[in-house]
Amino acid sequence: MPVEVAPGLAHYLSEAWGQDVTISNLSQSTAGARRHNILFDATAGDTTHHLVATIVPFGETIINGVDAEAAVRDVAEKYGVAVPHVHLVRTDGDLVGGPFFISEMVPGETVPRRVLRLVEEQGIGETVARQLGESLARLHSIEPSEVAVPLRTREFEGPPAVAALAGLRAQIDLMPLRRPAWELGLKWLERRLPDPPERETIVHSDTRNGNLIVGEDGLRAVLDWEGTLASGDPMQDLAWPSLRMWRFRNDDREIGGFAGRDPFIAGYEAAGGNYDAGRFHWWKVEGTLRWSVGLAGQTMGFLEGRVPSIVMAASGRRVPELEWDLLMLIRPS
Amino acid sequence: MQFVPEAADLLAAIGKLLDEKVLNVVPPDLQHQVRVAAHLSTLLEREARLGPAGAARERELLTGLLGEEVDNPNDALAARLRDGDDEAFEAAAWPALVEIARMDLAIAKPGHDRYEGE
Repeated sequence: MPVEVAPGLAHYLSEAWGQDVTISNLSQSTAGARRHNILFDATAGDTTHHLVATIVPFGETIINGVDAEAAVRDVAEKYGVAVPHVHLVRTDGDLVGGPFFISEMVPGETVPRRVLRLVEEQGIGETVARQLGESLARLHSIEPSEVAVPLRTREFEGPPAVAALAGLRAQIDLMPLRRPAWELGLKWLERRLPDPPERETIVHSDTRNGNLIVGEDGLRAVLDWEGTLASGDPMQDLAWPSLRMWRFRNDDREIGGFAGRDPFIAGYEAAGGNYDAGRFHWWKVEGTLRWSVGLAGQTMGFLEGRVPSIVMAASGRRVPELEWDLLMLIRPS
Repeated sequence: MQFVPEAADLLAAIGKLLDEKVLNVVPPDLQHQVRVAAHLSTLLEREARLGPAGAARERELLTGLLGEEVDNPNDALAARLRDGDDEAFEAAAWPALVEIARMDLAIAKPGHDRYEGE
């Protein structure tokens, strides 16, 4: 894949910058399952730029288009969210096999276990958790209307929690197997439906360990904005990186395996965010159930022949992990 | 009746081969898939050994909870939880589902249930 896109990138950048550009050192990042992230150097005259092309292959399901993703990243950057600067966006044509955008290459680790090793070596777990909280608060301070291209909206009607619950129920009803643990989770969520947030905000929706670039100095960038919602409950964003699934065996460090919740929330509040513990817990239960059903959905893709990958086949056998995590979260008092 | 080795022993041998011999010699873009295949082989080995006893205990637990023998107690419990409005029944379902999850995890991810926090 990397070498094939070199002529398209060279052609595009030469046109965009008005001078001959040569492309070298291409490699594919392991981050991102559905999209290709190609790291490369672009040399124009005496200057070499270290860049990343994020390509959405034709035929892939589009959640937010590359133009919407680039637009929200632009605004987020202005508000001080850690995000790689987007240089160029191309939504049409067949230069590299699909729409793409080109952003600054930010050095650091993205693979969760490597991230956690680095965090451990440098002793920066609390720093990363606090910085993630700060970035989320800055994102949540943005008026959605400031994003130049419309972001995706909720699929179901009603306030964020009501819509999320309806979405979960619909997803569960598509499954060929019924799971009592899922039903117990749904019932728990129904009984404890929270009040809507005072103010709905943009929701990144996937700021977990694995979508972050971390260096020796801490959090350098939040990646993967393709699922960003135009508006929702900001506690959804805070709860998601706290799922046990994203701690990669550092079970006692709730936030991404980096640190406990305190520095994360301290960072969020210091940067102007309003934390609500009750809604946080509700969204943590919702996220755990949603990811359990999501893994089942991946396996349905395999069983129906749409995604003939053994990795997707294996997802179904991860469902009990999430069911366990869910049951621990909804323990009867 | 098949001759030996039994399914569990064959699956263990396949898993060991994939993990110890094949993984190191396949191209980098196949390594993750081979690692997953090795993992699934050892998972199926555990299923072959532990699955039958776990299924029997699951049926016993669910039947006890439902108070009657039914063809598919899993579906019946899911339906009762979905349609019902009985917090005491939901609280009674929790420990049974925890025990079932522990048995599922003994096959799918041994050790995951050692952590009982949030």
